[in-house]
Amino acid sequence: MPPVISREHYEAILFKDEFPWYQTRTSPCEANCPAGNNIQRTVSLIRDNRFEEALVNLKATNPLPGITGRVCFYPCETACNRGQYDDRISIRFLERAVSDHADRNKVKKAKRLPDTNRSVAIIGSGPAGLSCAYYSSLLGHSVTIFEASKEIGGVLNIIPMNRLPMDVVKKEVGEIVELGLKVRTGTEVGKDIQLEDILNDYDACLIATGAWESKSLNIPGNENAISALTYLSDVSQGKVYDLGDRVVVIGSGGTAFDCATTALRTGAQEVHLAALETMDDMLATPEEIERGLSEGIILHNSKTFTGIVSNNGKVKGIECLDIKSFEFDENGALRLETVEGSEQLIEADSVIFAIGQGPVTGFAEGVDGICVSGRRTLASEKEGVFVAGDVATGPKSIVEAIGGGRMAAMSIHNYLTGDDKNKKIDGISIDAEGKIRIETYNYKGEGSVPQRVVDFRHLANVEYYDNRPRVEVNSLSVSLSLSDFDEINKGYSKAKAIEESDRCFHCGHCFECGTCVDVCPEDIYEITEEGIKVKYPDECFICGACVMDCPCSAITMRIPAPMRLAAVRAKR
Amino acid sequence: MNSEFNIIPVETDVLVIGGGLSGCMAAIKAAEEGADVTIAEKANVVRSGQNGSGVDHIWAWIPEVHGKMGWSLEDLVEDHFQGQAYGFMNKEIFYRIAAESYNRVLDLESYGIKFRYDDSPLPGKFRIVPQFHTIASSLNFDGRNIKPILSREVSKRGVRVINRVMMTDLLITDGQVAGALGVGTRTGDIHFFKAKSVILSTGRSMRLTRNVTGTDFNLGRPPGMTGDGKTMAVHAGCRLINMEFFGRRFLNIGPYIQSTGSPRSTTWPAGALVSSDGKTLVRKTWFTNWDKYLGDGAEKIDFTERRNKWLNALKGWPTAMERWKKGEGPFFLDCTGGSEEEIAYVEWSWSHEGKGWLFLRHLEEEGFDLRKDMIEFTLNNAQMTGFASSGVWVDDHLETGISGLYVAGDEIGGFPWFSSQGAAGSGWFAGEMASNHAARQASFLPVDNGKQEALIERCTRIVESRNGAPWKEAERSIQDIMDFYRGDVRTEQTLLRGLERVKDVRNNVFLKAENPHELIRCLEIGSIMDNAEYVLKATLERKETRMHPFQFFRNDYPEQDDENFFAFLGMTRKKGELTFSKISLEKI
Repeated sequence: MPPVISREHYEAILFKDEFPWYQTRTSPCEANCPAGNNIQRTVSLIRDNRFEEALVNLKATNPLPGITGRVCFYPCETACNRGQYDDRISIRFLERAVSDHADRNKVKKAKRLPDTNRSVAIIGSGPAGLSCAYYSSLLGHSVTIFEASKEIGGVLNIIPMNRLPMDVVKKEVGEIVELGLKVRTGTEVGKDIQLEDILNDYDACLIATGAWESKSLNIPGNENAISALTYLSDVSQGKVYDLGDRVVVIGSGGTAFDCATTALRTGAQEVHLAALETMDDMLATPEEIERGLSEGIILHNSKTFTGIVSNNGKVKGIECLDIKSFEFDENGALRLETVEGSEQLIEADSVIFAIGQGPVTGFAEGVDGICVSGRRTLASEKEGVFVAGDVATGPKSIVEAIGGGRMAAMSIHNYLTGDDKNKKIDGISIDAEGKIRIETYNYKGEGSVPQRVVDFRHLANVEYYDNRPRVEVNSLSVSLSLSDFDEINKGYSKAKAIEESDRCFHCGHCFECGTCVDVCPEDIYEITEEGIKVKYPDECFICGACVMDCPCSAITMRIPAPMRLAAVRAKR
Repeated sequence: MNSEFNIIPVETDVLVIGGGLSGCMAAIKAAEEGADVTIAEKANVVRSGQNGSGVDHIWAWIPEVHGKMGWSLEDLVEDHFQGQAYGFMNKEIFYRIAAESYNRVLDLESYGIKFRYDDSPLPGKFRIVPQFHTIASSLNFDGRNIKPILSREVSKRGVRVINRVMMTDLLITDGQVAGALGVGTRTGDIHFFKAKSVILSTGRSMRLTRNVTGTDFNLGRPPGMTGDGKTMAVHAGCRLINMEFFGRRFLNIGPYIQSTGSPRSTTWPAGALVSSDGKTLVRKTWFTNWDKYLGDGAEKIDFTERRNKWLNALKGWPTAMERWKKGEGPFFLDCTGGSEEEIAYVEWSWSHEGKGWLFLRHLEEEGFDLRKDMIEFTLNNAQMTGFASSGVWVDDHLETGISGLYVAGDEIGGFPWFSSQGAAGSGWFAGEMASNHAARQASFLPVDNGKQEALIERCTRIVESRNGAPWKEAERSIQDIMDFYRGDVRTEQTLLRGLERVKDVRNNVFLKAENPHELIRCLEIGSIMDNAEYVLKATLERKETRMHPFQFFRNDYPEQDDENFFAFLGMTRKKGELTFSKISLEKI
């Protein structure tokens, strides 16, 4: 069958071993989402004002859409093809809008599968642990979460509330716990309970303890620096800090900016942010940087730090040099090229280090089969023990942790239910009533068409679309937002979300415009109720008109066997 | 399927049958001359015909380039006449097309097609490469969307476009064209056209031989081009020429690319032909060094002498099939010796030529890179060769023997390698002639219902048939006949037997259709059978072997016979039989 049309999923997909046979092309947003979200189906459902189904679709791969819809670093948007035309689709706010507006009374939630009588221990209740807990529970296992601190949520609790309000966290996390999870807060593994005991008492275990050890600069006076994690964590629990009038935050990532914006709102008059990176290479998202600058944060780029200066026990500032360039070598060591004679002092009453984090692994050391790498991440070869999130990957992102948690849940499920070692899970879907369906396979059919990501230049006649900028999100003015921790972004209303969703190009997913039917010289296509199909595959002469003219580049020409390219690598 | 056929009548001044490159140019010109114009197209004009997925080259005589270097229009025509046609060409018409060739380029440019490039050293900034003539005369251009663009230009001028109709019959009254009949490919409706003049531009005839790749429709040109125009012309009493010049199987980059031909064609400044063991058989080509012709200190060139050298070289040039038989293969296209600039040029021009765009995608997805990898030449189909060599005979005004009936593009006989310029130019010319004719005619001619009734009867028999054969069986039979009786061995006996077998299929194989799409495929069998018959008959008539221009051979007449056969063999249907007469050629 020469042309193959790629189409959207028709129900929520919780897991797919490989891309489905009907989706031979996909969009860059989906290809770049670390959680594997089926973004386009969500966008289509929003466009059709089906918010409740959109929520089910979102939660099939990400149980915390209201959170990622606020704080994700949006790799989907960065990759969005529309971004090369006028404005990228506001995918993150669309995701948020679904969580904000879906009527929970009408949502046909995913229904937990029958009890498997297997128990799973989840150590760490950050995004990775919560995600794994959610899916493990849905699949019928009995889940217990062990959390060292008093609240579950991990990093979710320390993100400043003007980016992620506490009630949103509680609501989203609550929708996970309400599946029937057991939660043991205030229980630190390694202190209040030993890992060995957990491994004995539970059928499977996930370690998702995150990366809670702050990195410090090895410079004189570093004992007077405040760790970013400690600072944000304390503030989230209501502790009051007196940082003085002037604060300098070292670092350029999201955590650094979180510290800076928090400091601005808790008494500091002047907040500086200083980092190795140039303006262009800073690690935070452009959105965060822009916001920070508009709030008056003063940036010092391309600096290396030589010491924290104090006088009579009071911090005076941090000494630094200008640098021409820097890089981290294979071993992670920093190499610099400094500017001679550029010694300077950034004056400050407090110095906060926000230069990175690492996993804490002491509790797992000495356990057979659990390995600690040079970068202090954990890997497990022990039967029944799995790892996910920052503890496994090093510090990454919330969305990556969520994806890792779901994948861990699949591994755990396979481990717990795999009596027949040959049976593998092909896919797990959630139908319109919320019923979960698992499809397994012994042997897989060989596909002959790989999945390809649609590039912007593959979209035909893009200029036929009117230019439409992104729909604006209402947000608090800078002056208003500085006074407290009210949420800065207000998100989309339903109407605005629908309007924004209409801009999506649907890269790689047929939306039945009928162009292929129109242009095909041999008239091989037909329009059916199940979408556009090839009626006369033998009459295709591989002219490529349909592939060329498809506005969303959903058509792949399967090259018939006799036409396969005969080529050799040159000997030159 | 319902055998109640709706009749859809249309009255128009100029009816263009076939909306490809030549048909669209004809329609544009006729509309600009003030005629009411209708295009009847079997597919959809936006991507139909040989240039549906694009064309990357068009030859032209450019005054500011060719005139400047002293290479005249006459030189170009003579090159073509001797080196491409070997005398088998109507020089008058060709000269006229060549004289207008630059204007056609400017027209296409005015429609929004890009021809000029900043990196070109030439006046006018064209990219010109050698293809058909001794001097580079083929403009490479951004032609991938030439059909959507022409489709728009046609509509802008108020031309009525009727897509998805297969034309089956011309209506002739007293030796003049009065209209035409067709069948809707999706509806089965009978389309009845009354017209004051008609232009036939349905292109070449495909599907006459079995596809060598094993997949039926995988052809370099649209399989829907089944020679319907020639069939209609013959039944109307027109003369065809050169039907015996139906080529042999040859080697190409699979059937993938429409026409990348050999490394000497326009698209490959980087390509060399190498054999499996690494031996270079044809060295790579190169960009023309224009300084030699146009710079200060450019040499004065004797173009006649140059042509003679070229003609001599062509004489000894072995074809790919000849090399294959000598054991020099398998063959590969090797661009690895090309510079980055040359290879980028190849990729650019391929991306604009027919299936080339898809081919490049395939290369990319398979991880092939012309800079490192070689691509094999594999078997490609025998087909009607040389663009507009075989087809309807026309006079110096592109008119057939039927008054008001004109022909354009590949449909015309007598213009080997007419190529895209031939199509555009003859279309333009035919459009002008047809609109003039229509303007001189006050009213539509009367038409009797006989043909329409016969068509309805023909369609009814097919759709009402219960035990009829599927159309593919009939097509296979014809293809087998052509391959066997007119394949590697042709003699009088094999050709006569082949004709007998075609007659047998025609008389004894009845087809059936379940829906309009299948009905059209069944009707196409009629054209395929007719065209096969024309080819076999004409092959029978030419009792000689003539290697140039088209490698025509007869095992029973192994010598070239200029005395008797340096001529067009004109074929006409008289009283149900195909008869021949010779049309003399201008001496070379």
